Amino acid sequence: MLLCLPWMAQAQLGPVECTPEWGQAGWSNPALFHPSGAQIWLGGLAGTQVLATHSGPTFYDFISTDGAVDFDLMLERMDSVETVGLRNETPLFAFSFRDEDRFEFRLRSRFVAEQQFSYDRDLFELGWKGNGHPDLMGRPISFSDMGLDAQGYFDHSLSVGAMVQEDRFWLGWGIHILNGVGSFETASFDATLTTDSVDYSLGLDGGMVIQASGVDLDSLIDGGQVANLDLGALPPTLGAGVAYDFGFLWKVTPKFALEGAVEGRGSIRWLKSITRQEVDPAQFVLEGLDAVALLSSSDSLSLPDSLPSMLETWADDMLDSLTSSFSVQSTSDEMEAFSTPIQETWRLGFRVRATESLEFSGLVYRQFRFDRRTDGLLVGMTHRIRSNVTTHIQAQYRAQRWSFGGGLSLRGGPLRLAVSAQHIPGLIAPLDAGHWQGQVGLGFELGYKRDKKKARKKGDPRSGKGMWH
Amino acid sequence: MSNRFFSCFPVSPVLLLLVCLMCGSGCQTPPEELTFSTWTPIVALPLVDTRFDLGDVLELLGDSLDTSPVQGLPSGELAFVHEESLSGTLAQEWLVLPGMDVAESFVLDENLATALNLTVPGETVTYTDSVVSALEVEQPEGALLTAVELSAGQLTFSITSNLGDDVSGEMMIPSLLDQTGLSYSVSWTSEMLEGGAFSSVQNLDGWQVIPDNSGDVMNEILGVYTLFLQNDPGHLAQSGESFSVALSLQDMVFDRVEGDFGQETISIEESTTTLALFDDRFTTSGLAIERASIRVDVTNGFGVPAVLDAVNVEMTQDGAVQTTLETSAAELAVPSANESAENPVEVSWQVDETNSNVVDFFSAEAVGLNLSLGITANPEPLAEGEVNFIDADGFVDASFRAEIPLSIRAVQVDFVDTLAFSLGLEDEDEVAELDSAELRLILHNGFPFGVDFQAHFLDENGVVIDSVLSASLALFSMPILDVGGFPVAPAEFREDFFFDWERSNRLKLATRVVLRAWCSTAEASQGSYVRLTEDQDLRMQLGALLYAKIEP
Repeated sequence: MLLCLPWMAQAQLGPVECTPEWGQAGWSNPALFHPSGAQIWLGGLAGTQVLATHSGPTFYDFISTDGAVDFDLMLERMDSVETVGLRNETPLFAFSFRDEDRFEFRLRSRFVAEQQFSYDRDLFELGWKGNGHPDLMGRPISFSDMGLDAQGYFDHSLSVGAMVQEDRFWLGWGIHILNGVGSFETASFDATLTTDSVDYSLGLDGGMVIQASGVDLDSLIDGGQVANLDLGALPPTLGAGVAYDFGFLWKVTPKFALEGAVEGRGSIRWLKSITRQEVDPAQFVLEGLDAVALLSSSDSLSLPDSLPSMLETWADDMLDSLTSSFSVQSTSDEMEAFSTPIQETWRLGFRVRATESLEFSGLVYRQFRFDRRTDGLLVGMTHRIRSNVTTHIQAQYRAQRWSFGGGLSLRGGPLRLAVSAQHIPGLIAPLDAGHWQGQVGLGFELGYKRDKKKARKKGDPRSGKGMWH
Repeated sequence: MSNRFFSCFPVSPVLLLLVCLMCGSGCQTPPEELTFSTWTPIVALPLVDTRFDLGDVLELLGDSLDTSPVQGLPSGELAFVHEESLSGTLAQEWLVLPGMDVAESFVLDENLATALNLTVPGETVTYTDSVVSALEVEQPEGALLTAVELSAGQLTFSITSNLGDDVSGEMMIPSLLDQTGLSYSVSWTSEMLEGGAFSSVQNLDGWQVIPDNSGDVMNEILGVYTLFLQNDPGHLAQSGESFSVALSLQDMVFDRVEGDFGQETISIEESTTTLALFDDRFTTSGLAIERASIRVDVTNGFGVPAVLDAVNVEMTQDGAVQTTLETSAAELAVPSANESAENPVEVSWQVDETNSNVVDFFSAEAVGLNLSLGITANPEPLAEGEVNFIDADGFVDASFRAEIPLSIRAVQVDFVDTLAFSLGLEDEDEVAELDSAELRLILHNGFPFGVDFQAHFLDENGVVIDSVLSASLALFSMPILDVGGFPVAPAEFREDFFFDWERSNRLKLATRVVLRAWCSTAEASQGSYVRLTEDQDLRMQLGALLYAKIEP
């Protein structure tokens, strides 16, 4: 059993995902074996992982030490599109067993709920500078990448790792059976606001398609019930999908190894209870009050009395025109099934064992969540002391900033205690305790028995064989 | 030593390094207080985007400046138009049927009395005579009537007698026919005359009068009466006894009259109008028009051919005639109505700048316009068999339309006016977040004239405290004209007006604003005329840049 509560402010690989001593997150490369012979994790006792992500600038990117908030600097540090996300993994059941260095089998079930809201830097820039600012006037301000994606699904995965070449090359592969419970997807969102630099007219171009499964968009638009929640019953399976894992470990020399993995390549196809709302691409231009038309349609020319009503009429007409230009249409009846991806991580790296107990590692990774991509570089150092103590330190470079983290994993008998911590620079708000994330886990392991004499003769490290074979 | 330390206390130096790194980079103490820079967003808003054509502008000017109305012609060209409907002549007023009173007496002379006394009782002595008169038509004078259908009228036939013998008789008027075509006749007996008098009244509704014009007398009405005398043995006829016959035609109203109505003037009502293109707030020079026209539409419901031979148009100023219409246009022949007043004939007479001095009537000043029309009936004698007719509902009227297409040239039209002014702004506290503003005015001038504008704001002492700009603004930029006098493309004017609280406070002191505008048509100095059409328009755009300043 492993209790994991890591809070991460940015999508990145933490210590728990680099080495298997920290539990199921370390299964990200199925070719890497766990040092123990077998593990059993049970439901909520394994803890819940909650990953809050934010890709924007950190607090200290635009706030000086004396507390001066510089919004211009914040805008400068922002990417064109930033995201706020939340990912929650709740383990349900898992176990694994290993046949020495030759084979490892893993089975786990978990529930994953994740959402991601993408927002455009131009939105903040528009709010801060105003549409009349010289930087924005005349320039299309696009909010085309904005949107909200969310989904929840059960992930039942089976993976195996096997030695392909004696003490040299291991392959691992896995399959995820995905049962979707609900999904909301911004299939397309296109909105561009342009302030004409000559006459200040406001042009809005855009269109939108949102679709959902298990969320009744038609009812939601009408202010009705979001979904039919039948509490107490088993969650319905509205979507189904398959994802795959693949990994390898190539021990090039006794001291140098290459590793690579693809985890979670697949998608869920939502088949039931699907609704879709569309706003056809359209254009709306706010050009100002047409005084002559209003006067000509007015019953009286008594302007002082009728001016407020004229303005009200004009505003109503504008609103009607806007809503008619961007009218929301339900195409649920014509809706076909749609697919959403699940989190997918590609990683490629190396490990160098400098001494029997000390290894250095480095890897690059690319992680996909919904339609966003995150690239990062990670270098780490792992120190294994005897067979029951493992320490890890890592530095990670992503989005032009470094973060640091590390962990300690201790095993005594069948119990393993693992702690890790990571400095997170991506929090938008300051914390009195600094920017940290931490994890404490307690696992029950069935240690793999080794021949101590043989081990001493060969000089193998006294750690589990999962790391080096 | 260190190895022993680590072996006893299994903590990796890596872990120590990790702790140092994380403490160094992660333990940042947030500032106790945050200070935010002033939020100064600039909001751009389109306020007005409207388009009005020249027809709207001139209509508005016409309402506010009390100038002549402007109408769009079918060709799309705009024109000052002055129209008048002139009430003409009604049939009953133009042809007035006269009344007629005539009387004749029969007096016994000596011989006739003796003869009557000698007559055997029961024998009848017959005496026939006539009563002659005429319908003397004074309006139209000398009209010769050949047939008069009456809708009303009254014929009174009366006789008085002091003859002692029995007198009976009858009276017939051949020219007075009833609805069946029978001549009027009346008879009386001696018993009816016992009182010495007898009279008969006939309603002439539906009757017809056929005056006799075969003789020298026009419109002659002849009544023939016959007396039947019988000797009364008890009475000795004396000379001097008499018998008188009287006919009276009164209150005749015609349905239709036919005849020859002669040359008579049919007058159209005179009118006087004051026209003003500009009021006293305008100063003009070099104002000229290229074209103008006057059209008179005459509707003739009389069965009388006529000719429009009098169109009197005068332009007066301060009571003095400045210009009189002179034209080389031919007189207008006005045919008679077709068979009845129900089929009137409408004909038009038009003069323009090519055959008259009508363009001389254009004036920037307020002028009076006197107008009178006259037509003459039967300009030529009627041919043989040709007759005039007039029905009771017949009429002759006319409409007058002066049209000045706005093909004009104006070297200078200046406008000056002073209006009361008060800047009603919200309390400063309520709009304190608005630091300043910039109003952008864009005018796309599709009119073939330009307007420069200036506004001066005066305080209560008449001191200029602000103005729109130090120099006047070419509000309506002058467009380029094509050869036809039409703008090739709208000319754009763009100006930003800056407002801040300092200016606002200054304008709060203003009580009056003096508006000045200078206008001229394009290429006026080269003598070019410009043509104004309905579709020429002006697009006005007003946008605002609002500089907000929000303190945290």
